[in-house]
Amino acid sequence: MPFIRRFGVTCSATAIMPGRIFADLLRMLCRPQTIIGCVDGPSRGRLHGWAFDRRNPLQRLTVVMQHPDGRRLVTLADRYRADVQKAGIGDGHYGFSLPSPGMAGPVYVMQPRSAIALPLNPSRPPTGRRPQTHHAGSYRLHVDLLSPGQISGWAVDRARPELRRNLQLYCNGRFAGHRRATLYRPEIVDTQCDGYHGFWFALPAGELTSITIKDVGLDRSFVARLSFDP
Amino acid sequence: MKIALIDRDRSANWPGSTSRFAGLAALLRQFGHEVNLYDGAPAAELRAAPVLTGLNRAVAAGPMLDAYRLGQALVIQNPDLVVAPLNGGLAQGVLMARACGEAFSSTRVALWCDTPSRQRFLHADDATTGLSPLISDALERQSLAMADALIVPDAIRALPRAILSAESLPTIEAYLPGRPGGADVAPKGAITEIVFVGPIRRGAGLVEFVEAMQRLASDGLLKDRVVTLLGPARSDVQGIGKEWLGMRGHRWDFPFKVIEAGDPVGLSYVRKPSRLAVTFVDDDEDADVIRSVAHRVIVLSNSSAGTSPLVDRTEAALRSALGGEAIASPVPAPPTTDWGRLVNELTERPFRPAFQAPPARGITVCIVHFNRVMQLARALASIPDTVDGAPVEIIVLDNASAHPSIEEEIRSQAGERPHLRIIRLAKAVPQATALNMGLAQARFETVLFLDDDNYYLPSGVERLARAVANGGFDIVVTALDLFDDGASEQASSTGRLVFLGQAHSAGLFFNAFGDTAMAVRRDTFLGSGGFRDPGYDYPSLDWVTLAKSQAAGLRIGALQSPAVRYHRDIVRADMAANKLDQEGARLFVFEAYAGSFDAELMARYAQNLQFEEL
Repeated sequence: MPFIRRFGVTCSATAIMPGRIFADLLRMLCRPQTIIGCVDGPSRGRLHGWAFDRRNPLQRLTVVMQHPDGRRLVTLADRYRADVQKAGIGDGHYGFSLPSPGMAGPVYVMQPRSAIALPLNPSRPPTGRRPQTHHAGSYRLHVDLLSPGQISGWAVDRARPELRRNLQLYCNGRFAGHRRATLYRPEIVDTQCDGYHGFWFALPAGELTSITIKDVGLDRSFVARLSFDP
Repeated sequence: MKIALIDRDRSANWPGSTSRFAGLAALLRQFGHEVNLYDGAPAAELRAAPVLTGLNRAVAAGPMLDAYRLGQALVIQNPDLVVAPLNGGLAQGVLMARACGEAFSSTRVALWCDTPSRQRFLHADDATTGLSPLISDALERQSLAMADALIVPDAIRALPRAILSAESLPTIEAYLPGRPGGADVAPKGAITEIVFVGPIRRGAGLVEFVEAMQRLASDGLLKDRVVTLLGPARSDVQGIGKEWLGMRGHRWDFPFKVIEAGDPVGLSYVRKPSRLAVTFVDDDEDADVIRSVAHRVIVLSNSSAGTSPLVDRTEAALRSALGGEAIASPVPAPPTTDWGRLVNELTERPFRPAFQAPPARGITVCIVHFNRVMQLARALASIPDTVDGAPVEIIVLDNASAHPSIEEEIRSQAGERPHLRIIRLAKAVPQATALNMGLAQARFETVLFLDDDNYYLPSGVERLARAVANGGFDIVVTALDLFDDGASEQASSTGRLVFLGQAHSAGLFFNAFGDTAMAVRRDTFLGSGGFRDPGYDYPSLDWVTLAKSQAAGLRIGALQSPAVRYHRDIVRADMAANKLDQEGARLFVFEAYAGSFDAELMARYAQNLQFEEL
């Protein structure tokens, strides 16, 4: 699109600016609209994200992570991401995954004469809600992910951490599943807990008006009614 | 006659390379044939549901996707004859669809013998770390196993024996018409500049060229001459690139320059008559684009089988040219091929692969079920009672569902089904155990397997069984039409997952073989041990079992059009222990291969990967 029509000015841009500055300005203005993507965050020792060029959906972009220790990790963003495809972005083959055992650095999309920084995914964590913790004596039930399709957290009785909690999920008053809370959650490891207290449930499709988790352990029972803004 | 001439995208050799078959197409049109030229596979249609592979990578899986898309595109044209290059395995989609009885029932397929991916990969120094060479290798091996003829474009070219299966493949010697030559009139005047044309890398002959230049310089032959390197160069690599060139250059006492160009405009540099172009190719046709531009050109074959070392040949050719002798063609002028006669001969050739007696009539469909009666009902409804008048037996193995009267419940949901058998297991067994029990119980020789949350597309059962009967396969897998909403009857397609069937060495790294939604010859499959069953559930049962079957010598075909709708549950899959255990899957697959992979290919691939640890 011509500069004048795009920005509504009537003077000649090229006449008052050196060519290189003009090109840089134009490139800077165009960037946000052509290259999109984000860094989703780390998972299982790798940093995940996606990057997509709207002008050229069949091009697979090269991304670079500048590691804090000075290393540059380069990879091709051509991994299939079902969520990206379902969001209507091309054929979904725009994901990347970089080894990130420790601290991750900024991630850039490499372009012929520039590097475009990818933002962090604004929807992570995807709950959009504050984590909730329910107490009863030495018992804790913590929910840290409540998003369409899934709910997860951890449950532990700190007085008897070796007894894994048996949880039942009720949605809109109906039984929706049961699961023993044994998934590994490193953030709760301490001298008492070995961390194997996590749970995860798939939530049923459709409108949810209430979610209740019942702990039906043999030693004691507990009911957590989650605060929920439908 | 309708003829499809397919060339792969050869721009990697030199941008601007055109189809090798353009001259042949013009000639065949003069004979009255309807000829379509294809330059690689058609581009992906982004509006359609995407075509996916188990690798989940668009670029590395490119050869597989290209072969698939080309096969789908050619179905509409339904040509009488397809000619496609061996390298890249583009014809695999056509050949597999034909073998499975889906399309191309009257189409003959001839392969143009060029250098296989395996050979290029083993001898290239800048190969990618991706899997595409291994995937290409699998496609090429399949193509050789199923094609009707191999056209060998010159007598001295070695046949691709390393990837040719034991079954005999007819070979025909033939030459392309209308290849571009150099200038019509040999230029007069001195050669003032020698131009290396090609990428600055070992596989493109750069090292031999440099060595030859040093030899010539030591004899004073480069006095008053400039040496130019024309081609793209890499930097920051631990190999042949800009840094290497700079280090070597300090020893040269002849003037030289480097022109970083990789496009047709850059190539026009060699047009000046006083410049002698030198290029190195795997296949002679790869030099056509340079021949069409340069007045003086030396083309050297990278292959040194049975001849003197490449560096000696390079030096000799250059001494000869600089001495004023006519530049010899790398191969003698080829005899003319009677293509009018040849295409007729090709279309009269018998179809390959060899026929295998079909199994006895009748089909058994085996479904292992656990606590999903509604989805099971949908699966059962997709299975016909008969196919071509022969009965279709259904075996439901209920793997200890919680429902106390599960058999009645299933029968109630299934309705009137004359050949439905329900086997209830009181205690849950591993999936492989259940599948092998179903296999052993099957009454008929063709046995199909289906997960209880998937279902057949119309005629899916028939097409799978037909592929076993007509294709000479022991196992037939199918492309899968994916849907995400498990509960919906009319869930829209979210993609198409495609497989290779016989995955060769590429199958060590991802499941390119197929899903358990497959059809088998019962006795052959049982003879190979059926589903791999260590006595407990393990990851990637389908991948492991099909790898084991390949190692046992079973032939695996792959339907190109989906026969099954496959329920994809992304959220649950992310939380399944077996899906997480990718290390375990690879260990099982490695064991299942029992060493039946291409060791040289694997070693080279590992070397390239290890580079990242340097």
